[in-house]
Amino acid sequence: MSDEIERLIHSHRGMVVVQLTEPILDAAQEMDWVATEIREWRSDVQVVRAEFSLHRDWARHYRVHGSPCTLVFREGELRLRVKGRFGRAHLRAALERAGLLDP
Amino acid sequence: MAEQREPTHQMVPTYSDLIVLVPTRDDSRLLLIEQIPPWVAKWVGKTPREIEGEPIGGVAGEITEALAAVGDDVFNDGLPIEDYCIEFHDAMGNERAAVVSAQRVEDYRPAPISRASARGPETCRAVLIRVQDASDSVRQRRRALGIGQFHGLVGRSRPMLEVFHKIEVYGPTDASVIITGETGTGKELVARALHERSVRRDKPFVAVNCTALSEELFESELFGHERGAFTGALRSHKGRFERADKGTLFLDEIGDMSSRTQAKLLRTLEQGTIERVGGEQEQRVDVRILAATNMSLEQMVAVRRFRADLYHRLSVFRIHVPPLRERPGDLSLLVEHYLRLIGERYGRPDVRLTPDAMRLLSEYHWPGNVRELRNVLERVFVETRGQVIGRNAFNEWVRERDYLSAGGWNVERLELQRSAAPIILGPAGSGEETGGGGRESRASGMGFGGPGLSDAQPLYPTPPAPYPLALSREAFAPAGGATIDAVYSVEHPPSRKPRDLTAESIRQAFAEAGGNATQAARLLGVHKATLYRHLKALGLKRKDLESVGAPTADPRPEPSDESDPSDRSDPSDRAEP
Repeated sequence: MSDEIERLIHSHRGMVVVQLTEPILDAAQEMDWVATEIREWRSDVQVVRAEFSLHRDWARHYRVHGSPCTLVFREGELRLRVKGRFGRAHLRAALERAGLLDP
Repeated sequence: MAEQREPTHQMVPTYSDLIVLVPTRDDSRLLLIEQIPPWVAKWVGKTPREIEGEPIGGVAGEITEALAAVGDDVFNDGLPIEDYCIEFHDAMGNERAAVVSAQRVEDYRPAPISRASARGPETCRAVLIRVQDASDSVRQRRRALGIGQFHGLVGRSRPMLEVFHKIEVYGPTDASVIITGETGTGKELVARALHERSVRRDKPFVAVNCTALSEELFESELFGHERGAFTGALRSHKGRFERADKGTLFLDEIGDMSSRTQAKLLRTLEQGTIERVGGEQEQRVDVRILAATNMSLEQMVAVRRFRADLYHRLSVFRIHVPPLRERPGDLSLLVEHYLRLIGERYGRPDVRLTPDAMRLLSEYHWPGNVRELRNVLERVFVETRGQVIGRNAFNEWVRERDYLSAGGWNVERLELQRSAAPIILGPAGSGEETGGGGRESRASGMGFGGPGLSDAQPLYPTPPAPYPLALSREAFAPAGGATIDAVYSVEHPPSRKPRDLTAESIRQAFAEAGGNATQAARLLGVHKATLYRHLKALGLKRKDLESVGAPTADPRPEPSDESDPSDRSDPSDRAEP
């Protein structure tokens, strides 16, 4: 199952945002809108929403052991990892710091 | 927003839920544990004193691995983390969850007596991690949402998630599926789940066990019969195929089907028609076939006990249901699931096992798989009065398993515990789960010989003998207060983890055992009955194997389970031809 995410990360030319959530967490419900926000800043974004418990081993490979967590990949490489609950400003700052909002 | 907060310039109070990580002086990227709450340290089986001053990444444990990753992220990026939920197994193997928030402080001043501060600067950058135990709330939410369950199948391990995924993919197709797996793994549940996921879900699901009926009856049961077809056929009878029309027919234990029925089944599958026994007309049926077996159909095809054409017709898709011993992570989920079901049935909700009892269950290989687990849980549930079931509640079951399935226990793990942990004996027969080391020693002595066991004192008085055989144990008790454990070690030489039972390994075991089947089974770490089953499946003849390993002169008769107990007094005698 995680192979499909990995395939997408390596095949998509732009940015791939993987949002790991867990339905039992309140924080996960609040994270729903974040994907839309990223699309406002960049158009070449592919967003993947995945249930953390189904992708534990895959996530661990990227030093993620819980949820919610957002991973941003570009050209097949992990460029940003944001753990826990966060808001719009936090995400924008993180993306800017990682140079992911540069044209 | 959280990232706009000013850095915290303050001394860290000794909050009971706060972990403090500080860098070393020489390698500022390596984070040491400056402070850790005792209850968090306990999750990795340590005390704060044992791990404070150690690099967090170097402390073995799922939670420390996760906290090290959190610490690195916050230390390097400076962005705080809020409400990050980590699910992990603690040192006892229990599933736990913790909600973590973390932030970096710029001028942390370590406590003067800190072990970590001895290596660090006076003030330094540090990461503060607040941890909250969320195990109960996460468990309750999972339970409420039924997470970890899929059409009655329980599991969250990778092998089970793959099974669930295959059910989702194969279910909606109309192709045949072979479901393989050991007895008690839930093959019929998988078949039912496939049916539920198919377009046939509103039509009948009909199951038939191929071993339950004789060949003649089986044909009649499967295809139906006409009135007067045979003596006793007083009226015409609809077969399972007809009853499953437009739905799903599940053939359990298909490896036991006779070759004649196999031929008839193949014809039915290819033509889509059936003919009742004694009937003259063919009848069209539309049935999806799901089949299950605990045998290797490939091997049966190789020895011509199963038709190759039928095998290829049936095995369009295959789902292997893993045995319980290959998904130990699911054990606690299954225990919780069955205790809840049993509790509802007996009107005693919220009964749980102690961690020690859970550990005992995790040491067992579960040859009977989930069915065996469910049965033993029901047994101890009924036998126990309180809300908490401790390790001692399983004592009788342990003794029975010890006798019945020599290869049932996870020997490697027990050996590891035996070497790692000192044997501390608890009060004899106290029956209380006080968390002492006594149960440790009991585990170490469960049916295994080996160094240290003969020194063990009895954990409980000589138990009432559950079997006639147990009476013989007293006869071998050495003078001077021998223990039941010690006698067990005489009766059962150190078992091994069951080897892969290949024809070669079986031949070798027979050769080593001088042709003695009982001894060969012990060498292979399986029960004799299991060995015979494999002999049959592999097409090996016991007579040939016995002659291979038999001594050339003075052959001894093979001791049977009913033989004189004195035959067992020295197993080494039997090992030598």
